[in-house]
Amino acid sequence: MSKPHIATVQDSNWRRMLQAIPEKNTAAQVTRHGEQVSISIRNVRPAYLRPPISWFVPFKERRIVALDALGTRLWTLCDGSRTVEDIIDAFCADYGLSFHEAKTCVTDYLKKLVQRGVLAVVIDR
Amino acid sequence: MKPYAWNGIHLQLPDDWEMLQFSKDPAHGRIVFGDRYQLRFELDWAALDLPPDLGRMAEDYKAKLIQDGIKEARPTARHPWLGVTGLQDGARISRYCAYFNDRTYLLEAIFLWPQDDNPRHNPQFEARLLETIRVVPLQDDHLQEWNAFGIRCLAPDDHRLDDCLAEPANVRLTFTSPDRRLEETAARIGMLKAWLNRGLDDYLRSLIPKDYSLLSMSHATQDGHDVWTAEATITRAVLTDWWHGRRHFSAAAWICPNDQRLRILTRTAPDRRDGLPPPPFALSCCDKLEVTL
Repeated sequence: MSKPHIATVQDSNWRRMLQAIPEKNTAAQVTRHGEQVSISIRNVRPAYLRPPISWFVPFKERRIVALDALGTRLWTLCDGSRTVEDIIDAFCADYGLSFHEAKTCVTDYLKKLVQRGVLAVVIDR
Repeated sequence: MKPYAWNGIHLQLPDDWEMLQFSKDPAHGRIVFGDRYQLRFELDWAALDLPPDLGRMAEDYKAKLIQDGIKEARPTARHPWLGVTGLQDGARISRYCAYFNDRTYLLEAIFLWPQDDNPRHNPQFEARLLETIRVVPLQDDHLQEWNAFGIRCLAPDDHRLDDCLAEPANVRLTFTSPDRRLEETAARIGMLKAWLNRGLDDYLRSLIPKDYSLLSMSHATQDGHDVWTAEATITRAVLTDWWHGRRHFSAAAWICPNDQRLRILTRTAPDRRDGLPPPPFALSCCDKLEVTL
């Protein structure tokens, strides 16, 4: 028999991730367009962006992240009290998905929003 | 318990477990299931030329597991399964193997128990689950059942699972014949309100491959299911089509009222020289409907 692919318990357990709480970036400015949301985030000026480099390289003070219907729903659910698991359960109910379908959807989207500075994820509060 | 069928192996698992990993190779591979918090069960298969000496294998297996760091390893058996149970990284793990003459498969079943639920390690549960595992011999109708990701279909047993797309709300199994001239797909798509903004007949028409011309389109209703079917064909002046026959495209699509998911069944097949129709390919969404092409 081959070596099992379920290698270690740690590798196969995502309970800690599900208990994490996504928090909105409090410095973000939110604009609603009907059912969709645009979020404006302040950019951090890089240390190298000084004259004479800044004379040639433009710097944008803010960047806009436009969310689609799914992202808007996710943003709304991230109220600082719901865990990732709660949000996944809400997605299951809203869109008729299985738990792991919704988990893939939600965690991928959360990852993107964290990378763009829209959200932060609090683990082990 | 929810039934699964994969590569000739049938089993039943708790309702809240989902298939999270899979292999397509019938010679050797695995399927892995998890509950909402962790991986819980893995089933490996390997097609063997000769039956193995299972007793000796279990002994070697136990020795190897001890060498790999499994603690408190002790043998266990649930006919026809021989196994070892022990502790790995503080969690209980049970591993069983059995040989099935049908399809000459050696199966290995691995249970991974939650670390915080160790006292709840339940040998009766393992036994009950092992009892549901069976390797189904090739049937007289030459059809093989596949049941996973909410898709239950019957494909010709010599057709191989060529591709399995498992995305959120978008699952598609693709089968091909040994000569790869015949291709069947079964799909289950969800979140229809977010993207399906036209009629099913129109959507089905859009699935017809390029250069195929529509022969017929029909509609039937059964137990609340509105099923649309389409037939199309292509005529090309190329040598392969002259030799193998003109290619036909058949498809069916419907929305199951029970889970509100769109089911799509397609087949691309050449005309047979003997005039016989291609082997049947069927997809069912619930107890009330099975559509066969």
